[in-house]
Amino acid sequence: MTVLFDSFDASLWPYVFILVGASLPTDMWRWLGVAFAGHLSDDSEWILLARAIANALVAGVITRLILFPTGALLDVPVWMRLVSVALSVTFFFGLWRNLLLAVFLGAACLVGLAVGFGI
Amino acid sequence: MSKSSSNAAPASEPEPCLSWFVWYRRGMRYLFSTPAIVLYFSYMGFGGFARESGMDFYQTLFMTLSTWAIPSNVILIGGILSGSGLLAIFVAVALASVRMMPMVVSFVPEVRDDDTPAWQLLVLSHFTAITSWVFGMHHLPKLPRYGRVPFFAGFAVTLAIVNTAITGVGFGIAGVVPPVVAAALFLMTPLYFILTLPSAARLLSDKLALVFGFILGPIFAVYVPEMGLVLTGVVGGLAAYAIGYARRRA
Repeated sequence: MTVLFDSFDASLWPYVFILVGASLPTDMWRWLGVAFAGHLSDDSEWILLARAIANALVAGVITRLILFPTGALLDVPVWMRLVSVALSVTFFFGLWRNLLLAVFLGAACLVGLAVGFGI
Repeated sequence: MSKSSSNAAPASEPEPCLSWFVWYRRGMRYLFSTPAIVLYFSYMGFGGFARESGMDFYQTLFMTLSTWAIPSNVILIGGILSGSGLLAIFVAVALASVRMMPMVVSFVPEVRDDDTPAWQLLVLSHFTAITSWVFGMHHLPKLPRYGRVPFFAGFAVTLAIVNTAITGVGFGIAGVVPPVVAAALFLMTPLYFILTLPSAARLLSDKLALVFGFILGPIFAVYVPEMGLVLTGVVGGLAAYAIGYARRRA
């Protein structure tokens, strides 16, 4: 049988659902991480390997957030998202390493394109 | 030398009690840094997304604090909306959160002192998400070991608490913000990560792993949707590590 978000009428049930459905499957990896780190030092080969895997995973998550987003970003065409990201990255690495400005520039570009093309 | 020793000599040993608070506050100062501010906008976006998805106000705040990972919560809400069962949501969130393990494995040796108890690491690990991980990998190596746990706690724990409140703000103003602005809020987090990740990548293997992840991520996402993220990490990470290892030995 499937247990759903509204399966039970108890007022605490949604919170249990959130704990089991999102918190536990996220935190269990964090706790495993603490367990596996053991007493390895920060320059051991296993840690370097873990760091490489972590970096690849994080980069993968980021491209997904841009290319296959959820929520409001889904309504903006993918080329607008890519142009905004490209503009921000070029500005930051090419012109001026000001993070806040670069991030807002990318966001403003997205708004401008979306409004300009009538999304 | 004479100045520091004469000042520090009487109280140098029993001081850690006070120092903890000082380090904690030093970490808290970064609540006004760019990464923190960008994350505030992301959580504002998440609060709005949760409301539009029909979630309850307190449940949404609870999601932010108890899970402390936007992707996990977005999957949870998506699952609830599509009528998925608890087990299916659990599996989907677990697959998308595997990144936490190597992140924490690589983070623990940076934050730990010789006598840091395991419970502190377990608590801190809950507050490890991409923003605080990048922050920690960048700032911690420059600090003395004994100050790293309270410094990181000062940043990461308060960041989670502040963002729980911000989620509530985003929930409250959900209808007021035009959808285009909401979309821009959702773009800010990945954008920020793209710009900052290179600075947290120290070795050749770290940098290569980023490049491989950016390339493999979308490819695997299209061809193996469920396992895509895990494969991106394992294939991209192993390849980057192998190349880095070969270069170091050459």
